[in-house]
Amino acid sequence: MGEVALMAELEAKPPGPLAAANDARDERRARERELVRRAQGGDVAAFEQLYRDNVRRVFALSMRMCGDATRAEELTQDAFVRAWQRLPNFRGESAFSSWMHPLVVNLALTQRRSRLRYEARVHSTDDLQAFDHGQGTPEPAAAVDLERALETLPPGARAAFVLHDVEGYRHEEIAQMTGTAVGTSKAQLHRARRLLREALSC
Amino acid sequence: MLTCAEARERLDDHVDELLDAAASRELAAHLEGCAGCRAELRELRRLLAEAAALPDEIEPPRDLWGGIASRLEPRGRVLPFGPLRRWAFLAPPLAAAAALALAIGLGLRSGPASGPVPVPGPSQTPFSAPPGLQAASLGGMASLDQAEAEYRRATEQLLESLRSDPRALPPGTLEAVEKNLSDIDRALGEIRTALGKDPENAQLARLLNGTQRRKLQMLQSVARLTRT
Repeated sequence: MGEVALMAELEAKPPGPLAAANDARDERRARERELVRRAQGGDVAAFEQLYRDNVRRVFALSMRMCGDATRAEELTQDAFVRAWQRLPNFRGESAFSSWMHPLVVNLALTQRRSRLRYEARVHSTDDLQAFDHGQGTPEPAAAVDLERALETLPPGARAAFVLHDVEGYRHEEIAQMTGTAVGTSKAQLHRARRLLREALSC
Repeated sequence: MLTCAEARERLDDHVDELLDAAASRELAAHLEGCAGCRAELRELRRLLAEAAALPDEIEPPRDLWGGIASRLEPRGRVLPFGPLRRWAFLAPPLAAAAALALAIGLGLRSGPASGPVPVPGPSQTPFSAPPGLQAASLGGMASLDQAEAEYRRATEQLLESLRSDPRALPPGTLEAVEKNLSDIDRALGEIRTALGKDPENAQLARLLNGTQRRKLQMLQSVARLTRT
């Protein structure tokens, strides 16, 4: 077969599954960029569509960051309100949901600090020990899966594990998001992995 | 040779591929002869595999949009730019007009009565906006020009009433009212010029309509106060 005939045959072939997946992804991104552009201009309906497209992703991170469904709902709502306020600064260099991650993390940490301040006011110092579930008795073996075990982690260790091992961020990025040192992120991750192995081996 | 404690301290860095070559060799040598640490490494890798396999998405137990939508401020109050910002100069004359109306009201209520305050008769009832302008919705008007004409007619009627009986107002008030009206009219003129260059600009059209309405309301306030 001559070169021209071969080229003609290749061009006539329908696109493979990989090309089709790439096309679908490009189409999704283009649609998201358009929604972001409209929402930046004040279009609430476009922002609602961004919410509908991304809420499950944001809620998953919220749930794992705060380990409580009710607080995760509040955190998700707060994060979308914050996203609306900050949207004019979004330059579309990443996916919308990725751009929202640091907002969720920051809000989760801020809310945790506020909650700890509140709890410190209404509980004695001894009572506070109870909030460090990682030091307490793990869940019974039959009921413990990874999601449940995550809920038992102390907040700092949970954040490090979720961001590093579930979401795939590097320690430098986690340190930037959480306002801590890289060494702190590593230490928290080490602690989280140890506590989770203990919990899951029960 | 590493102890078990030292080896286990290195397992995290090992799975994260952060160990240098020498440290890796030391760990490998320990693992080869230590079943306990090998089991620990298997557990760690299993945990990481489970973590990576967690679902990316979780459906919230309820629709959270309602609690978000109610908290979204209109973008115009958030964005540092926008076509309306250029018309911020409108605020001072309109605020001055409102303050003037308030001052007149306070003066008339607390000051000594200088004579009977005339009560407008049935012929002096053009103090309310034309029905079509009450809602001041552009969509309900035949055209912007028609809306403008209606506003102009209503404001002129009100102004004429005020001028026809200056005794109802404290000295100097009418001059102050007219000065404020002149500022507002100048602003309105600039909006009209801008609209002439950009006739499809809906925000400018709304601004023109809203400014006309506020001018009328200011005059209505002054006129109402003269009757109290």
